[in-house]
Amino acid sequence: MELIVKNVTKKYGSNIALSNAGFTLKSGEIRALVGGNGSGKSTISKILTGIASSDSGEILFDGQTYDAKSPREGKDSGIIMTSQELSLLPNLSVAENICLCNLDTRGKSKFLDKKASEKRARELLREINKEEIINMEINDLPANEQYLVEFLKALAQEPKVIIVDEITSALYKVDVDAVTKILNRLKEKGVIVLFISHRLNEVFTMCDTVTVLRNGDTIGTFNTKDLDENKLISYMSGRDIKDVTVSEHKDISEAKVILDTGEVKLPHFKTLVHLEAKEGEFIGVAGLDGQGQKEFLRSLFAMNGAINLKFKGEELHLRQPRDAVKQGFAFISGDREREGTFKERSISENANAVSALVLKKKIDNIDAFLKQNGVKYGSSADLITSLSGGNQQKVVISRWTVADPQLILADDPTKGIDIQARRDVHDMMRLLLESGNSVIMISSDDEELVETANMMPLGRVIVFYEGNIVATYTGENITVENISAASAGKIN
Amino acid sequence: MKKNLIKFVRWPAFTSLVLLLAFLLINEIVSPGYLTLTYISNFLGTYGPMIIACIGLSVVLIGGGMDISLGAMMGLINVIYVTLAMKGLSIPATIIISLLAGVVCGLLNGIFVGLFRITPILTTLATSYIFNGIALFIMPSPKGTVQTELIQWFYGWLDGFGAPLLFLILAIVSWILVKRTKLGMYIYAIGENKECAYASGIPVNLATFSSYAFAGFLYAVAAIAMTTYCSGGDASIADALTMKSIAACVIGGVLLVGGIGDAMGACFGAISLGFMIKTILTIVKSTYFTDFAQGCLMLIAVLGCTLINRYIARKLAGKREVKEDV
Amino acid sequence: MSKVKINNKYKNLLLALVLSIILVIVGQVLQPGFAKANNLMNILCKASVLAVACIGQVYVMVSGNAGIDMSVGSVMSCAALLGPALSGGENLGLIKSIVIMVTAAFIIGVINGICIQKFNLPSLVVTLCMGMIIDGLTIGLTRGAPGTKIPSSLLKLGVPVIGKIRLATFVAIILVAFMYFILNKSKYGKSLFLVGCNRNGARLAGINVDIKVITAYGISAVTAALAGYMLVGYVGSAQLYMADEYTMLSIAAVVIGGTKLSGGKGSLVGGVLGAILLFLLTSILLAVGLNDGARIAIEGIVLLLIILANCREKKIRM
Repeated sequence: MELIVKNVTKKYGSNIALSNAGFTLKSGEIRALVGGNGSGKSTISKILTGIASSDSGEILFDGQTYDAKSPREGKDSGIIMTSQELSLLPNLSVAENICLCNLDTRGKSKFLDKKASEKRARELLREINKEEIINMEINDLPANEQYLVEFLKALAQEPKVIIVDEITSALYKVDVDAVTKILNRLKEKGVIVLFISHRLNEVFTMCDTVTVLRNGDTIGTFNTKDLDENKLISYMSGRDIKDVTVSEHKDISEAKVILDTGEVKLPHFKTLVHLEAKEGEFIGVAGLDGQGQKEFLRSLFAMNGAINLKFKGEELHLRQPRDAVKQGFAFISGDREREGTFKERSISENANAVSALVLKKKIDNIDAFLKQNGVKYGSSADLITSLSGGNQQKVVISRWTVADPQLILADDPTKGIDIQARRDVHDMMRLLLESGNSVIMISSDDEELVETANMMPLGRVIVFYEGNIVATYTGENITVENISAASAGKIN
Repeated sequence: MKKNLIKFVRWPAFTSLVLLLAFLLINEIVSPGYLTLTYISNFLGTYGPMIIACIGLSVVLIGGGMDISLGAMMGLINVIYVTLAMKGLSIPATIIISLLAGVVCGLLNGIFVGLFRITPILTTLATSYIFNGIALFIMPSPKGTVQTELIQWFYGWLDGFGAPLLFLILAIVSWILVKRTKLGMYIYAIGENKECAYASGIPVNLATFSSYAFAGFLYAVAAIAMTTYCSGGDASIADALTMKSIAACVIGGVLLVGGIGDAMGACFGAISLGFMIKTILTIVKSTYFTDFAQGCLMLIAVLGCTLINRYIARKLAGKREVKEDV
Repeated sequence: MSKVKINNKYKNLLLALVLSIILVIVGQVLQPGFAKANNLMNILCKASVLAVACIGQVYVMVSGNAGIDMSVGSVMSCAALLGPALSGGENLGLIKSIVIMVTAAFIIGVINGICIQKFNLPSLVVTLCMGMIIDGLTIGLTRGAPGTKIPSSLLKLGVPVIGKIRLATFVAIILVAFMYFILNKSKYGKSLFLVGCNRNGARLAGINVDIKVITAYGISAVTAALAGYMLVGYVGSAQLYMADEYTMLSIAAVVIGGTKLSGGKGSLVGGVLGAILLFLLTSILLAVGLNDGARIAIEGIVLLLIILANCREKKIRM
C-alpha cells in the first residue's frame, strides 16, 4: 500500500506553506517527517486528513486518486492523525473522546451504545497501562495523559495511515516507549506510519526513513541508517551547523543579582519555586509541556495574582501585569492568537500597544522603527493580519523592546518563525543583555535553548519537572542530552 | 458511592434542582397542603409553555448557538394555529401543520447560522422581526379561538392536569431521546469547540441545523399548549418569554458559551422561575412594582446559580495525582 | 495588498451610505414628495435619537467578549418617562433632571459592567435582566400613569432650526462628534479597541481591562438616558415602554454600520449611518401604506440580507 504525494502546493494568503511537496509513503516502514517551524509538516498532515484543502497537486492512495473534502472523508479512507493542538473535547468523558470519531450504536438505530464505547476505550487504555483514567475528566488529566488520549483516539479509528504529529514533547519516557511499541505493531500490520517530531534522537531510534521539509519545500527522503544528526540538521536548516557563535562565558559569580523571586507558589502544582537572575544573564527554561514553567513565568508577571519580588535592590509588590510593565518588565508570548496580536487592528496600533497606551510614549517614527526590527510590511496602517506569522511575531516582540525593558520574560517567543528571524530575535536579546538587563526564556525546543544559552555571554539553562526546578546547567553542561534527561526527571 | 454523589453534584442541573426543591419546600411551609392537583394544573397551564420552550432553547445553547426569535416564533405558530382552527381544520391537521411550521422556522434559523455562518444572535434578531411581521400580517389584532374540543380536552382531561403534563412529558422525552443519539453527542461537541468537532469528523452543519429545528419543534409544542390554555390568537402572546427563557436556561446551568448543560436543568430553572414569578405576585402588594421585583429576583437567581455552579466545578474537580515512576 | 485592506475598513460605511441613497431614490419614486427636505429631515431627526443610543452600543460591542447592551431601550424609556417628571416641567429643572438621570444611568451601567466583567456573567443575560429591572422601576415610579409636563426646551428638539434640520440632529452631531473623539483619539478608546480584540494580550500589555470594560457599559447607559430625553422631546409626550424597541434597533444599526459583535472593531459613523438606513426603510414602508406586519417582516428580511453581507464568521475549512 502506498500513499503518493505529488507536487502539492498550499498557500495561506501570501504565505507559501507548501511548495510542490512530493514524497511516497509505504507500508512496512515508520517514516519520520522533520523540518523547522513553518516547514509545512502540519500543513501536509491537514491536507492528507481532509482538514485543509490543497491548492494544486495530486495525491494517490492505494492506487486511487485521493481528494478528501472534509475530515469525515479522510477518516472514511482511513487516514487519521493525532493533532498537535489536541482535538479533545473537555466536556465529554475520556471514553467518549476516544470513540468520538466512530461512535458505537445499538444495531442499526442512531442510539448510542455507551457500554460498547466504554469497552473499546478500556481495551485501548489497557494497552498503554492507563485504564484507571477512563472515568476522569479531560481537564483533570496532566498533559502527557491528554496526549495519550489523543493518540488512542486515532488508534480507535483503526487507521490505514496514521500521522502522529508532535506528541512526544509532552510524554514521559515510559509513555514514549508504549507509543513506540504500538507504532511498531501497526507497522507490522501494514499500516503506513508517519511520525512528525522535532526530537531528532527519536527520529533515529524509532524511524526507518525520514522525509525532510524546509520552508515548504521537500528536500528529500533518506534512510535514517545513512544519516547522522549533523547531516540531518544541515538538511533541515540548509546551513552548516558550525555557524553558531559561542561566546566567551563570563564568570557567573561576578555579576550582581538583579532579580530575586522569593518563594513563588505555583497554582497547579502547589510547589514553591525560587529563582535568582543576575545582571546581563540569560536563563533558558526547559521542560516538557505543563511542568509548571509557564505558570512560573506568568506568576512573575503578576498574571496569577499579586506577587512580591526583589528587583534591582527594591522590594516590589506587583498586583497585576500593569504594575509589572511600569517597572520595566516585558512579557513576550509565542501564543500570538491568545496573547499577542490584536487581529482587527493595524500594525502601528499593535506596535504602539505598550509604549503609547501604558508608558505614555508614542513611537516617533513608526516606519523607521519597524524597518529596524526587520519587519516586512506594506504600510503601517495595514491590518496586522496582512503580515506573515513570523513578521507578526516580530511586531509583537518589538512592541516590548521599544519600551526599554529591564527584565524580559519570554514564553516560546520564536514559535512559528523561521530560522533567520529566530536568529534576529536572539541577537536582539543579546543586545539587551549587554546593557545589563536580564532575559528568562522558555522554549520547547531544546536545541534552541542550547544554541541561545551558548550565544550569550552569561547564560544557563534550568529545567522544570513537576513544578520544581530540578536541574541547572551552565557552560559545557548545556547539552540537549542533559536537558532531555532532566526533563524526564532523570538527573545525574 | 462518594464518586456517584460527586458526579451528581457536578451535574449542571443540580443547582436548579436544589432551587426547585427549595421553592417547593418553602411554599409547603408557608401554606401547607398547597400542592393540589388544581394548583399543579394551573401552574403547568401557565408556565408549561415556558418550560417546554426552555428545553428547546437549551438544545440550541448547548450547541453553542443563541435564539432570541423564540417569542416571535411562538407568536407565529399561535397565529397559524388559531387561523387554521377558525377555518375549521381538524385538530390533528392543525397540530401537525403547526409543528411543521415550527420545524421550518427553526430550520430557517439553522440554515443562516450553520450554512451562511452568520452570528446566531444577529440571525435570530432578524428572524424575530420576520416571524413577528408574518404573524402580524396574518392576524393584525388579537382574535379568534381554538377548536372547542381541544379546549375541553385540555381543561378537562384528568381535571385539567393531564394535558399540560402530557405536553411537558413529550418535551422531556424528546430531549432524552436526542441526548442518547449520536446527534446529541454531536451537539455537545460543536458547542464545546467547533473546530475540534470538525476535525473529529463530526457533521457540524447537520448538528447545527438539527439543534435549531428541534428547538423550533419544541417552540411549536409550547405554542400549541399556550394557545389552547389562553384560547386566543395573538401575535405577541409570547413576547415576554424570550428573555425569561434565556434567564431560566442560565439558572439551569446551561452555559451560553455552549457545550455545557442539560435541558433538564433548563426545565428545573424554568419551573423555579415560575415559582419565583408566582411568589412575587402574591408577596408584592403594590401591583406597580411586580415587574421590578421580578427583574431583581431573576438577576439574583442568575448571578447566584452561575457562581454556585462555578464554585462546584472548581472545588469538585478531581485533579489527578501525578506520581510517575519514570 | 495594502489598498485592499484599507478599503475593507470603509466597505461597511460605503455600503450603508449607498443603500441610504438608493432608499431615498426608491422612496421618491414610490411616493413623490418623499425626498422633500422636510420629510428627509424629519427622518433624520428620528434617526438622530437612535444614533445617540447607538453610541453606547458601539462602545460596549467594541469592548469585546460578545459585549451587548440589551438594557438600552429600558434606560431610554426610563429617562423619557421620569426625566420630565424630575424637571418639574421647567427648563431650569431640566438641567437638574439630566444631571440626576445621567448619574443614575452611569451607576446602572457600572453595575452591569461589574456583573459582566468582575463576575464573568454573560452580557446578554445581565443586561436583559437589568432592562427588566429598569422597566419595572419605571412602571413602579410612574404608577403606570406617565405624562407629566415636558419642559419647553425639550419640546424644541423636534422643531426645525436651520432650514428644515431639527434641533435634535444638531444635538446628536455634537454628541457623536464628542464620543467619536474619545473612542478613536483618546487613550481610553484606543485601549478599548485592543481590549476588545484580545483580552489576554491587552492585560499582558499592561492595560487595565476591568476599568475599560466597566466604563464602556457605564457610557452605554448614559447615552441611552440622553437618547431617552431626546425621544420624549421629539415625540412630545411620554408613553409606557415607548423606547423598548430601540434596544434591537440600536443593535441592528451598529451592526449594519460595521461594528463587530466579537469586539475590537467598531464605528460610530457606521452606527449613525445604520440608524439613518433603518429609519429610511421604515419610512418608505410606512409611506407605501404597508400594514404593520408586512413592514416588520420586510425590515427583518432587509436586516438579514445586510447581515449576510457583513457578519459572517470564518470558514471552518481552510
